[in-house]
Amino acid sequence: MASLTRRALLGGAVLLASSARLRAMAPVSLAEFIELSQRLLGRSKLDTEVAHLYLTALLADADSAVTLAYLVQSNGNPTAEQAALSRTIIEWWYTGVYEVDGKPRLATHSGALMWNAMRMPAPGTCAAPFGAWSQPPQDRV
Amino acid sequence: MPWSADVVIVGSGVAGSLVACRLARAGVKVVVLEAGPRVQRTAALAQYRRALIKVPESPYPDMPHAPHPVSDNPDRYFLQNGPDTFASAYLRQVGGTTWHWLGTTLRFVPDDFRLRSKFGIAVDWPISYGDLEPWYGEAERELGVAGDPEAELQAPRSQPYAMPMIPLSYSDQRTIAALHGTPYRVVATPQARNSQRYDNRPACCGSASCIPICPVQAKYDATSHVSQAERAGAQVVADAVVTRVDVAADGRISGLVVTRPDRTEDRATARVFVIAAHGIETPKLLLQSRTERLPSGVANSSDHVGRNLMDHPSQLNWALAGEPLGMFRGPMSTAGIEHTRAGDWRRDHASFRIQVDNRGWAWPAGAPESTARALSRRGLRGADLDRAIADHSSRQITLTPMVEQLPSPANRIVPDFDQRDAIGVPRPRITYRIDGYSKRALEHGRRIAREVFAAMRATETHEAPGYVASGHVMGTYRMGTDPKQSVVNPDQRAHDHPNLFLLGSGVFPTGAASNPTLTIAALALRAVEEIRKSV
Repeated sequence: MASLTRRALLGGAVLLASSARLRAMAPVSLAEFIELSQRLLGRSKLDTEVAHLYLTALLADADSAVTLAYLVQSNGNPTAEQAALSRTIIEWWYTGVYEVDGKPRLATHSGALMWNAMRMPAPGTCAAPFGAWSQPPQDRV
Repeated sequence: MPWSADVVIVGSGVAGSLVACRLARAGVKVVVLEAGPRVQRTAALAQYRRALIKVPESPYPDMPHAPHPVSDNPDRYFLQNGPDTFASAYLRQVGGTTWHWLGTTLRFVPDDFRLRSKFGIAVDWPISYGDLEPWYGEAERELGVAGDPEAELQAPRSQPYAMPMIPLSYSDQRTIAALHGTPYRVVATPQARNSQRYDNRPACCGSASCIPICPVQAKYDATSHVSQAERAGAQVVADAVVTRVDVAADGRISGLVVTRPDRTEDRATARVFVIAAHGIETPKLLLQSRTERLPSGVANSSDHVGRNLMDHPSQLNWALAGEPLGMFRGPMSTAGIEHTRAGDWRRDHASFRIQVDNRGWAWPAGAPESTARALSRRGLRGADLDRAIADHSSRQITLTPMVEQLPSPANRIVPDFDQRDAIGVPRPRITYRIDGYSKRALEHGRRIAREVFAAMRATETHEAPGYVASGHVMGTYRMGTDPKQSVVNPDQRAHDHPNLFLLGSGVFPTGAASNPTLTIAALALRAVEEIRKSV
């Protein structure tokens, strides 16, 4: 019992130290991640809170944290890992769903960029005047 | 606190709240006992937005004292005996399952009431379409039904719809045009959705979230009649789980045992009792109320309580149309193929309808999220990705044949006394099988879907191999004239107990192919006068 408690305490200390080290090392800052996302998405306005969720999830995984740091620093010619991570980041922004430990989580319902691409609000929000759905869809860019 | 009233009603869904409202207005003292909680629309909307998986139950609490089934895990509340999985769900909360229904208010067709005499199968209803027709009109006014008087729905009407029709979606219009010259006709669906201000509720604003929740209550839900009943003097008690029905020596119901979330017990007494707790909870309550004197349960001398469980088994078909259709806009469905509900072939295969969706591949494939995921994984970016998502999602069509299921005594729900919920109530154990009569109709539905897709020059066609549930729980305390073959009489009074009425789709002797809610409402309104006279 005593050793279990000690181990738990030690584990906690290690965790604390590692997250502190992560912050101190700051492999990628929130500003850098937003800038990267803007570049990948071709959009300027991005939700900071959603960006924070995505960045935290990526930094929590050692492999993706390293790849993300390289991706932020790269100037083109992405490696296979960097291209794959770029696709993941784009997918997260468009669907509003990201992953932590392989499990999906919702970052945002109304802020998922797919609704923006479809030029309509996410379901659950009044969308248009009564009967607008009977008109042809608007012309797209 | 014990409750005492002229009439105690168990369940606050569409049937219970309509009857409560009518009785209270007639000066009858009414108490409504609802197992689940009261739900605030703003809280439900917030929970819906936060939910990762947006199934019909996502916005609503699942309380330990009143658990409900969930669409994405049919084993969570139900205990499944098979051979097929019963996956239809419902809600236990003030207002009932109308919170997340689609709003479709088709009437049954005349032949639905006479399958035995006309086709030699199943059983006849003890009432005809003509008997119910005026009550359909009444129900349409109560719920606020918008409909197209020109739509051919094989169900004669003596009264106009309460409101002008909900406009057909652009995709409906294109589908109708594509089917010109084929035998198939897509018509506007009558629906309890406001096309103008009605019942102090606004017109539909196209939130495209009818299932699971309308943000503005343009879609009718029974909280409307709950409020009206309360204004008329009815008392509605939430979190009051009726766990036993007591029967006196003379056969009359003497009272109800009510279990509260903290497991304390109360008692409710009345002259007349109405149980309107839907197709699973009503028979379970009757069966779990067994005693030495009534070993097979309350109202069950026929042994039909809990049997003849039916749904509308459905099959998903989806494809990509040859042109943009503007999907994901407006009510989730505004049209369907309905003439497949009536015909002489009912000797051979089930009646069915085909729902035409406005929500792309949301139901079969989780679009547009799955669409955005697939296209971004393909490496598209920026404006190219935007264009691809917009184009693909706009062209996604889904056709869902929903078929009748014949009553079978073997398809049944019983309380499992070894498996109980948090307050000690037996959970439902279900035996369920879809037979060849229904499967043959699903095949016909699939064939028609293929023809519609071809007419729309569709590509990427998909057919789900299995079937999905419709959430239409029917048949488990059916009505009839023979007390040996049915549970309630044509007035929906229990054959065995003169002061007990059972309402809801459990009384349907057969399930037709039309969504059940309007028929539930019409039958409930028809029962009001008999209930009042019994007080």
